[in-house]
Amino acid sequence: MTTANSASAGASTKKTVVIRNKGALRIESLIVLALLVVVMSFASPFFFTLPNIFNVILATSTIGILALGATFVIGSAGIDLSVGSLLAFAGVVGAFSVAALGLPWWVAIFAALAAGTFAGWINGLVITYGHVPAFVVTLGMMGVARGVALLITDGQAIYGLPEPLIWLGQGRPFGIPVPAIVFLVMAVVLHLLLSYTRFGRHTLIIGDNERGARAMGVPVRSLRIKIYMLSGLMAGLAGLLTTARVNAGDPTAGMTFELSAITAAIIGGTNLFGGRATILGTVIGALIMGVLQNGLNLLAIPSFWQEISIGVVLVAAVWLDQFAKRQKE
Amino acid sequence: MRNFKNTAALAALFVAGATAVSAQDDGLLYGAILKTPANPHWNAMTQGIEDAAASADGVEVVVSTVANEGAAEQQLNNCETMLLREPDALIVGAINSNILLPCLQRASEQGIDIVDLDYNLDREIAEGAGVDVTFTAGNDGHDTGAVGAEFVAEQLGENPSGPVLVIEGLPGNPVGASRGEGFRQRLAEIAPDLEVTTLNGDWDRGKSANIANDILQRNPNLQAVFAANDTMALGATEALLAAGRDDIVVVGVDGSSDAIESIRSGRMTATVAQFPYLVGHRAVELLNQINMEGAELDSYQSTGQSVITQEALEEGTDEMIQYLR
Repeated sequence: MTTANSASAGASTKKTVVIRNKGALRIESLIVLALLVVVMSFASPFFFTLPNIFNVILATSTIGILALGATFVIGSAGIDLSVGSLLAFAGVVGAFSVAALGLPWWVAIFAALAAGTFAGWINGLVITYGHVPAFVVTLGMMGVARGVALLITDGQAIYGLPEPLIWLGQGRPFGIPVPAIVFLVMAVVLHLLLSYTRFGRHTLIIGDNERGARAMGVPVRSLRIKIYMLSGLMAGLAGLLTTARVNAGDPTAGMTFELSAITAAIIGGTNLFGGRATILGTVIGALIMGVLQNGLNLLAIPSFWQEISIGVVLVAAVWLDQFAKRQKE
Repeated sequence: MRNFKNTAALAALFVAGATAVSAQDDGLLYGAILKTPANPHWNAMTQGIEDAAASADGVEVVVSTVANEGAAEQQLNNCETMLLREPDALIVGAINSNILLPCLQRASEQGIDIVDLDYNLDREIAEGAGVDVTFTAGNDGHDTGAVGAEFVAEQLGENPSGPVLVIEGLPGNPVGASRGEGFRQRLAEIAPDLEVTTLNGDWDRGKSANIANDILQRNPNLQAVFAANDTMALGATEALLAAGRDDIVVVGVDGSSDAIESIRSGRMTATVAQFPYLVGHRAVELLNQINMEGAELDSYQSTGQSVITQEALEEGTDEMIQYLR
């Protein structure tokens, strides 16, 4: 399926590599989100209130931050299956540095972010210089990082963090949860990075047509390594925030989150085979999943339905996209 | 042809290895088929099993574990492999009620004792599949839930009313479901004015934190949270504290070390401690009685549970506290 897609993508887009991304924000996903918000507002009087809106963003922030990284990775025609494990790994490293090694609280921040970025760097190196497919490398890293997290903690959650760290997960300046603020700020930063810098443009170009990009003089290898480092950094950030939020470095945290992050990016209009991605779309995709979960919780509907509805929305979003494309042609 | 030779040699090695293991068997050999050691509950249970075996003469235990809570098929493989050792008994912490049945049925046919830990095997289903469970060690989830309900009602004073949140485990898991059910049933009897909402936290800290947040939006006058394990209760505790609500009673189940620490520092309210170490220890002791003394046992062996609060920890008078791990 990859061959078929890249062949057709190559044929139709060689001339319009950059322009193509401009129309990429799928209006469909925005409509789905708006519809969901309206339905939930009618279904539950508690839904459309300011505290609950912050609450939705807080609940979305973990998957959302991972999905921001996934947007770059998938946009460059890569895949990163390790982020769920990296989240746990980074969280555990952060918690371990303060709780077990007794280092000052701010070290945990750097330790967690560095742990995620370092693992991402390894991913990138093996993918580019080792010529191993990203799917395989990050699948391997998924196991390695989870295993190391379990090893560091002997399988037990590291409980009890210093106050300033807990504030990162639990603080609410002006009533807004800190993780929600971090998520939104990172979304803006990465939007600027993707849409207005050479790094962002090149990311989508190598996702669209790697050979062409190389011919244009794009430094494909170093770019790819940076993209996986960015994905690892986001996983580290998400790990730091969840650890702070639940006051524990949990080696079993973030199981299957990599799939949720990919789902959010795809619902938001990122092309699974690269070349097309927007941060705004990804944020909307993540919010759709967050709103579904929050709304169904408010209505006390069993979690079976959350999984069913997210699955349906994923396929429906991509189907709508294909449908609209065919209409245009 | 060369390949075939290698395979044959390998197979011969395997058979030799298997017979070597069973040949040394003149004492008792128990095979423990457990869940992931990453879960503190199962970790403590494993310790109990190993300690009890070490303190009895002529008893050897082989422990096999799996990588995560969902690795059902891996557990079945472990069970099949364990049978090759020809154990006298299997001590089983099944991931779900079904997956091990084919293996356990063969064990029953071979006359191997089967011990169910923590009510993870559904007796009706097991018997239907020809599995003969010798006894179950642990606490019935219904009892555990009822103990939790009594504690919550006591904390909320006379004639309590208002919303209460119950967080169960993975959908379809009988342990989480029975704890929730026992809690709801007992609460309806002793505090009928409390309205209970039940959701699945999937045994996950972060997910339970989200649920607690969401329900707090719906029910700002939330009175209490009962979670089917400590991990979920801790997630809920932190979410409620982050929302500035330290007035809500949060009760978990297990008595894991991080829960105890949280209770000691006044964050989480209490846990219905299960003393998994004792469950493992008792399972081996009782098996020894059966195999060494020919004892006839009740097929349900309760191992005791106790509500651990900050007060109980400070006083230290509850003698069960020494079995916390």
